[in-house]
Amino acid sequence: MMKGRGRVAIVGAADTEVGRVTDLDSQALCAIAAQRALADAGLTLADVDGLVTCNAMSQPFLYPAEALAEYLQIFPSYCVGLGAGGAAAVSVIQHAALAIEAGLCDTVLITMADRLRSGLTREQARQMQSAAGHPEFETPYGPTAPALYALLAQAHMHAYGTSREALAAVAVTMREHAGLHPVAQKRDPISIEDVLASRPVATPLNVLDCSLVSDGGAAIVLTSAKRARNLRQPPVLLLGSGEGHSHEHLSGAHDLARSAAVESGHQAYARSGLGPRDIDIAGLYDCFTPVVLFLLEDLGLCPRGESGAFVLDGGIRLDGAMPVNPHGGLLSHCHPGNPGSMFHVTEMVTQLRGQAGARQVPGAEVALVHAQGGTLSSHSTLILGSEATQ
Amino acid sequence: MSADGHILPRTTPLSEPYWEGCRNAELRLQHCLDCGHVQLPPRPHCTSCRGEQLQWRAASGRGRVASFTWVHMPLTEAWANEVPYAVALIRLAEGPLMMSNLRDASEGQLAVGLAVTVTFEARDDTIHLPQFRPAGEEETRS
Repeated sequence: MMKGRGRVAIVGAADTEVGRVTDLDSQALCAIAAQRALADAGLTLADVDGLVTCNAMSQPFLYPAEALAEYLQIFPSYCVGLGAGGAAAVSVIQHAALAIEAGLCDTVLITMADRLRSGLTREQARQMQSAAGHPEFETPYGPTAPALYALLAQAHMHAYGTSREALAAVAVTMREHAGLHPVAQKRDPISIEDVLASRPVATPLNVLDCSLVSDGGAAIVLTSAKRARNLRQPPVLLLGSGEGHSHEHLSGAHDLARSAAVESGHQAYARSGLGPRDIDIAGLYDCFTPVVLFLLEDLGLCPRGESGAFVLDGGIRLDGAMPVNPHGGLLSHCHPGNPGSMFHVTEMVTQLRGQAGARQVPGAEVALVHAQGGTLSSHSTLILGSEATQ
Repeated sequence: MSADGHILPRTTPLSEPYWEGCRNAELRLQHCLDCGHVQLPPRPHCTSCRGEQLQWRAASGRGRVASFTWVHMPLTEAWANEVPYAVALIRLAEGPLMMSNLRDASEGQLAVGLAVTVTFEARDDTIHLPQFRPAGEEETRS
């Protein structure tokens, strides 16, 4: 956790082009995201003394952070390569904040990119699919990544009577939001009927319940809140963070209808001195539609068992009680793999600065970002505040 | 990989009694002699009391479907001619949750809570994979 509420700030944030990017490799995308985020902050690579990145499946290195530092020709005092998973891009922000507070470095650049859409061979894509299950006790039964999430969806439907349409409504809302984003990968509106009629992947999930396969990258820059005051953009403050870890493989889960997002959220709320009712806007990891339903309940953003009705009633739309992923999320904006949750972070930063244009949620002062990895296995929550929350 | 391309389990020395049991049409689980906890996958310690006295015992082979999915887009080509195939999480009568396939179940029949019983399918000489099918009336009653 951050030692002090609001002592570290996100001062720069930027995305690269997303969707299909064929003229740049992942390292180049990382470098472009980095340059843009630093320019946004009014800083340059010369100011960076901390670097965090994740490995790119499409361009793996043995030590990805060292390789990127070399590529950027920077020589940081804090350099971390993540064995990422969905939650890692968010959890690393609390590690970077600690490094700043501990005096290990002043300015941390977190930049990640990958090209799952155009950068993977068929064999790499196959290996990625089969890596999701336990190699001895799950994979031999043929579960795909969507099948693992389908098992969670089915369990939620059984436990709470969640409807199939509620899952579809998550996809429909994400598409509606993406339609307002100038560079989102999928922007044409879809209906609940479209989702239900799309190709079945693993019941109850269809193709439109599954996130996109994308190229793209994003970066953020962190420094002390004190230093942030003199920089170009209004600072976005880190108010609290938390993590939760309950299992890795789905057959190791103790509860199929509740995740360790509960514990992760509790920590973040306690450390920020805030609660679910203080959250104006949320960036929720949405690799598959059921995940949003789990997270809404587990983070206390809607009553337990009622996420389906909440979503069907428009609760996560921009004008709803808890606007979720105004950029369109992994379902409609982009999902380049490990960097996926970076876009939730950059979107929350844009929203808290009031710079989101047509998709701006009015009066957004406190944002929650939650990412998860594995199959609702590892969780990381971050609570961010606008300058006004200092 | 098996001859027909299915991915085979990456076994460990600790799990050898499990796969040996499967070859003899017997589902085996690790029992803790100190606290009675039953666990899968096998480990050198009991995950409940951390005791080290673990014993392999034959399980009843019965359980109930905790969740299931019909997979339409297969994991690899080897599964392509089986689609849709049912992947399920089974809550074994002894306690552990395990993943497996449901065989001989129609789409209408398969539901959370369905009583199932184990059967084995030879993938090669050493790997006989536990599979489940709906339990008959006789098996459900007990």
